[in-house]
Amino acid sequence: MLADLKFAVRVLAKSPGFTAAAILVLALGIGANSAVFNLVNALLFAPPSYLRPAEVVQVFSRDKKNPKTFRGFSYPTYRDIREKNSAFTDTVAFNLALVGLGEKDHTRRAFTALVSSNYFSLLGIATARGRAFLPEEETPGRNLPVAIVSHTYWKKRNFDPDLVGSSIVINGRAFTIVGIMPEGFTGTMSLFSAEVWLPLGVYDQVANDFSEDNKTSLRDRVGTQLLILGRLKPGLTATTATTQLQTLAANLEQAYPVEQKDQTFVMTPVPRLSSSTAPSENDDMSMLGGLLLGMSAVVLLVACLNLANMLLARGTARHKEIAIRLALGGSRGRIIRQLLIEGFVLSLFGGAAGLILALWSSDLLVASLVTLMPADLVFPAGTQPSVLVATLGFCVLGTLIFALGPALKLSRGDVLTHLKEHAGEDAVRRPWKFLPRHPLVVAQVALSLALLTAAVLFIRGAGKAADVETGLKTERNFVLEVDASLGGRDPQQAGELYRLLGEKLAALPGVEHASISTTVPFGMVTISKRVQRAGVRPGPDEKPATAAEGLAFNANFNSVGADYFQAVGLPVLRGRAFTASEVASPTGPGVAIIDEALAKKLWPDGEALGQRIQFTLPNALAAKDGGSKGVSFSEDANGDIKPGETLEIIGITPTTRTALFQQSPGTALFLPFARGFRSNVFFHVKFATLPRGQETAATDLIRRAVRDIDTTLPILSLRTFAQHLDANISL
Amino acid sequence: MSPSLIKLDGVTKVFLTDEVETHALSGIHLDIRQGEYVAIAGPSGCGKSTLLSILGLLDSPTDGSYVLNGRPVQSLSLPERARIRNREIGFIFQSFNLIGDLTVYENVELPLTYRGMPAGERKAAVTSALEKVGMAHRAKHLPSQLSGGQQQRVAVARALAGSPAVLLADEPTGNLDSKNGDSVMQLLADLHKGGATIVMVTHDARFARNAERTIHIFDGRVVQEQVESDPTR
Repeated sequence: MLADLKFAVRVLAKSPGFTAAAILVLALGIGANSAVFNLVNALLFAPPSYLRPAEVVQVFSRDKKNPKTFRGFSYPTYRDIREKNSAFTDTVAFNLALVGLGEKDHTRRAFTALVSSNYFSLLGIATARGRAFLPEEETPGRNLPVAIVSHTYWKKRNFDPDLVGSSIVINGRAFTIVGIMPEGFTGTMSLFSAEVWLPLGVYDQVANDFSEDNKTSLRDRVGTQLLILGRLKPGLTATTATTQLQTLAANLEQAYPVEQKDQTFVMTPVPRLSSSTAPSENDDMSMLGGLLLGMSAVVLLVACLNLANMLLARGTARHKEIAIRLALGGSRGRIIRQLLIEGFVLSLFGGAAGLILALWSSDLLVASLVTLMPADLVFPAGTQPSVLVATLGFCVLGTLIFALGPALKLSRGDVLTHLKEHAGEDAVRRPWKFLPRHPLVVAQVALSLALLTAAVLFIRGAGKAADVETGLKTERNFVLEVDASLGGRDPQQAGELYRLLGEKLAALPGVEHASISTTVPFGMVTISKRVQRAGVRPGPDEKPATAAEGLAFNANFNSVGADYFQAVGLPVLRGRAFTASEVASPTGPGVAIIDEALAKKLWPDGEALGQRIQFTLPNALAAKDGGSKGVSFSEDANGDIKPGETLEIIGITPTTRTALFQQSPGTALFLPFARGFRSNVFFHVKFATLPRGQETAATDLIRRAVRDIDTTLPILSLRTFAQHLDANISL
Repeated sequence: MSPSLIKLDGVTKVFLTDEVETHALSGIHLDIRQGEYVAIAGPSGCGKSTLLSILGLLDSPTDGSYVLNGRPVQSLSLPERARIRNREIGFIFQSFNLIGDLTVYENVELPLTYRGMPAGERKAAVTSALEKVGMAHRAKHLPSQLSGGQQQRVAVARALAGSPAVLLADEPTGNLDSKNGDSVMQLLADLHKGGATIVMVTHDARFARNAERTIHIFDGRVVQEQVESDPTR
């Protein structure tokens, strides 16, 4: 074996050109696979960052009458579960929130986890520095401003030895850092981690739910803000634990017949990729992971076929050597072994280069994602043993693919013919004349074409998306994203701030239109609401088939200012836009503007203008069309619309796309801003004229306007609409 | 009389190319005893190389029997033929057939490695063989650094290192000048003197006279056997 290895190295060293080309080809093939495995492994297979994960489960509150409906827990319910359950050694409560993290001269958005004081002890992870939270810091309303930060945060502070005890500004308020979590800790999720952990005692002051549902205080029993984890008692099976939990749920329902009506408890393993009040599976990500692995496997296959052809071509020159070896009594197996060892040596070099490539590309991926996400992306640093083993596996697999065929062919050669000098391949008769002469070349070309086609289609798709006809006129349009809640403002203060800012922006020199909106077309987030014709309320067991019978439709929801349609260049085809008073008044008449697609669905045979619509009750049957396919969340609640209130359709706009990779334009519903307030808003600022190269001056102007209104208001992004579109493509 | 080492009985070899049958050998009977030095002579294309290939188990006869060292070998499996080639037969080719990427030492060692011989024994056998052919001082050289005569000496060392039952030489001087050719023939004669059984294919009557017996082949048949009363030494 050693002699074969020595010989392999010598043979490869003798042909540096071939060896370099082969190593490059293999590095690309193996590197792609190692990089994808690195990512998929971290997402799906690597052990979670907490202790004995098999014992930890998530508890869900399920509606007994509607088993597909789940909700979160209130803090009092959590305390009941924690104190009265017999299934767990301990339980914790937590939820995620977006906060404004004060930096030197600006505020950025960051993910925090609001956790009960025993969160870290249940997960079996101690702080790397400082301490965990104290029980009194968990008590709702105590509002003790303490925080624990991630290792990544500490790293961003250059491992400041005095970080514990220093302050961190969250939503405009100073919190004392009491601890630092160890490197690699991501809570219950894979890869993505909160940057800061806060105690539940500050929940009411900090939490900023995605949904509008949870506006109750944490100490209120009707709340549904929290997620619960439990660590199963030793030896307890999931079935037994579930039975015990359901008994507890029944007792709680008896004790709190209103708050716990129809609620039972179930549990599942902790999801790796989400934090949700409903059980979720990793199927989508597993499928994506499988797809990525499959595509990279094809890359490896193409690389190996390419190399196999190179080896075959080179093998012609080695026929004589192999014939000599066979003549001297080398068995065919021995010859194949020698050729496979040569291939494996090549693979090892290619694998080493591929590993470097994989680590580099992983770092590049992380670096590019970090700039787009408000969460810590905790990617395992350096070479993980599992990735090393996988790379070695890819080397072995690659060797078998590219070296075995040529080895089999070479070792089957005509010894007598090849022992004579200059014996060529043509001396061997081909028994299967109907087969392609070079099947490996055919396979390689076919696979390369398939990959090339996929790549071209992808690039074409991305290109088409980039050139998408938005239906908007967004030249000279700037998008400003702010969130006053991240600066510690309550909704009333934020509303007033936005009114002043809107006026200030509209008055800027050269600005033609300026308007507020809660979502931005082609943005990361869309809000979906379900609407139906007013006055139609199908019973729970009825299944309406038409809009007239009460069929509901999903629509992309946006609450906007009076000048919105002009600011984004979206004409109101029929009817009118909102007035300034409608936009400012939360108690004004219910009015709505919809797009033609939604109008056609609600009134297929008539005019929607002047008709009235209403939001659906929760769980109403909706048609399976419309809405966005992007990152979205659905709201069954009516927001700022009073129960039973209907909305008059006062305007119809053209149907436009709202997401880059939308298969077909969706449906749209616009409300006056005051009737759909959110603290995270966008301002669209359209300049009448903007000389080329003056974009920076314009953004400076807008930035100064924001600072003139409030120096502490967090600017989350400020860019031209074109840059906004580009950013979504890069995402 | 020494025992029979090689016994061919009615050996026939027919090549099929498309629809044409070529009878390379027709009913060859041959008996070679241990320690004999036999030359196979004949014009080009007469079948002498085919005969040597069958004797060396590089090819198998279409018909007839072949007994090597008391064992029928005409229908053995490929791995078994490889094993016998490795242990019982030493090849000396016209074009030397050394492996260019291996040193002289490694070339000679190669068949012993395939045999699974322990490293210590291998080293002794290789050194001894190289010394016999006078090439020990070139052990670390690559074949490309040697002259043709030296390369053929190394090939002889490789053939005899494993102490085979028979040395098969196919035109061993064919690629050498007369001086080197004579030198190699002398080497073979010395080996024969030392007890080696040698079967040599040659078309050169001068070299054939070195053997004790010359078998003349024509059109795939043995047409004459000639015993040298005084082989040239």
